[in-house]
Amino acid sequence: MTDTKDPAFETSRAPLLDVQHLSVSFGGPTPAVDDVSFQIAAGETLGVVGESGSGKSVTAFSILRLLQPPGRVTSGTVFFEGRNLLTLSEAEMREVRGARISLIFQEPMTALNPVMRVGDQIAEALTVHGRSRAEARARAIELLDAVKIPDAARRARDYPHQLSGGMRQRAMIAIALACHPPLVIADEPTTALDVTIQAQVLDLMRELKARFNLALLLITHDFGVIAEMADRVAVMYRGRVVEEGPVRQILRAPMHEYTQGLLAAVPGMSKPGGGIR
Amino acid sequence: MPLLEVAGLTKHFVRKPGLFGKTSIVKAVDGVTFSIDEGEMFGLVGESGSGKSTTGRCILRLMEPTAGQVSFKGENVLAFSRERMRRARRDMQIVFQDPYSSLNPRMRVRDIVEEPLVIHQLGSRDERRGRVRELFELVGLEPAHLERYPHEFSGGQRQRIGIARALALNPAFVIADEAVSALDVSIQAQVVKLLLDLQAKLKLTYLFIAHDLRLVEHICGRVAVMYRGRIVEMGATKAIFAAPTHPYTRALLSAIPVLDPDAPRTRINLDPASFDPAAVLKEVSGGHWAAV
Repeated sequence: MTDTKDPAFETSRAPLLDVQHLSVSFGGPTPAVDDVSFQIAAGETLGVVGESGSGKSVTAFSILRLLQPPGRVTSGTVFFEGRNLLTLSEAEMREVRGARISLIFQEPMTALNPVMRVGDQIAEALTVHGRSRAEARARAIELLDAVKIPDAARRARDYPHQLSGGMRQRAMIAIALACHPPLVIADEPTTALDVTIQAQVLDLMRELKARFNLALLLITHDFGVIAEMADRVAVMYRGRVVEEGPVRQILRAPMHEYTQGLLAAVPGMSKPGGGIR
Repeated sequence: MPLLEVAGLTKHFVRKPGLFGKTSIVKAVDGVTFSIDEGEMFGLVGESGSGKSTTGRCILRLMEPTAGQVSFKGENVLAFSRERMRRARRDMQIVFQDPYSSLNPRMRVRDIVEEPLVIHQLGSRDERRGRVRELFELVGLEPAHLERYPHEFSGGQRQRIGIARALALNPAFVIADEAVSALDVSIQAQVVKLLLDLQAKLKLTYLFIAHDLRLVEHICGRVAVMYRGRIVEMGATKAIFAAPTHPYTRALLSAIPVLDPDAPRTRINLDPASFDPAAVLKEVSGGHWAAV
């Protein structure tokens, strides 16, 4: 593809991720995800916001085909870089996970291997996808440096419990970025963090996104995080996307009753100095 | 007149490091002083490990403080005998964060709410049952669900059960320790509204412990900011949010996500060298104190 700036060409380009009519069932009477469609362009951040049980995490796990039984995709397509992920073989899917789409979880302490040095965990992400050990080790330290972990060469030899919560989350971001994936899915990446640490991690994610031209599927319940990070927003409620649009439109002029209610419940959102009362 | 006065409250934990290394002392709460007037909703904010929950627990003597004074209605709580403390707890209650782990899963919710009345031997069985029904209605729960178990309720409903239990003995003072932090935002708003309604109806006084500054800004008249076991700033919530004085408060407030995508982001990073960690609170303007 050439570097054309023709807007018509730009908009006609296929999105990086194109989810169409995705439905997921856990065997119950109502589907966990119900006919969900959305797209993400290269370099774009889509915020998926909703309350617990709205289906936002299940959607993310379905994209990566990480659903645990009895959960299963009952219909829909997930096109990524031109291929429908739902029809790939498990071997082909392994080539996608981590290398083309990576995942950042809420709780770094449970996502990281507690008995493996942080540097080795980053290097593993690279060796699995074909890099040599020496190359992987050098790159691991570079990545720890890129996520602003001070004294990266020394920290690479630490175990997860030796890092603070904020540093563990940075280490997980380093693992997610190891193979330069074009798409990162972040599931409540800052929810477990204190607000000052959250601010640092959000700033870091914004910076890395620009530097590596990452597209981001950001799952959160926090409209503050949405306002800081997202270009577009999809609001999920009971398994469905009830509203989708540019972040300013959703925050300032929500159309759907549920979005309006949700925003009104955020302290300080409805009107300045007003709030809950 | 203050209902609760806390002075120089201190809680140190001794950390034993195993076979090697030295024993160290963790100053979880380190000389905390504040007072709460009757009918007030007083916020205590800070990040994890700042000592805000330990402060709450020491006030109720769920944990014995290392030093300091706590006086409630003019009486020295820390000098109370076991028996006197037990009676004092009728007046001082707590609602915990996690509505999943703080309710006994094997008890029917009727018994959970009635239990404080049984422990304090109040009323006949019928009177207690009547009171439980009344409490259920007070917190907006269906009395028809009294015979159910906690797992049959949603998170918000469970938190209402926790509140009903805390209110069973008709306390004057309630500590809400991250009482709405685990709830979804729409449920959180309902439970906060309930706490405010109850405050007006029952003339309750609250110590509202929270890490969510946006929430505290909207419901607490006064607030104290804790950092590493100490209060670094205290005063009218409006004054502190409008003009934070302590470097930590400034950094903390600047970290709150701005809800407007176009608002300028001015993060202030905390420079530990910019303040004296041992500084005492000084009045910087009327009723606004900062440890600078």
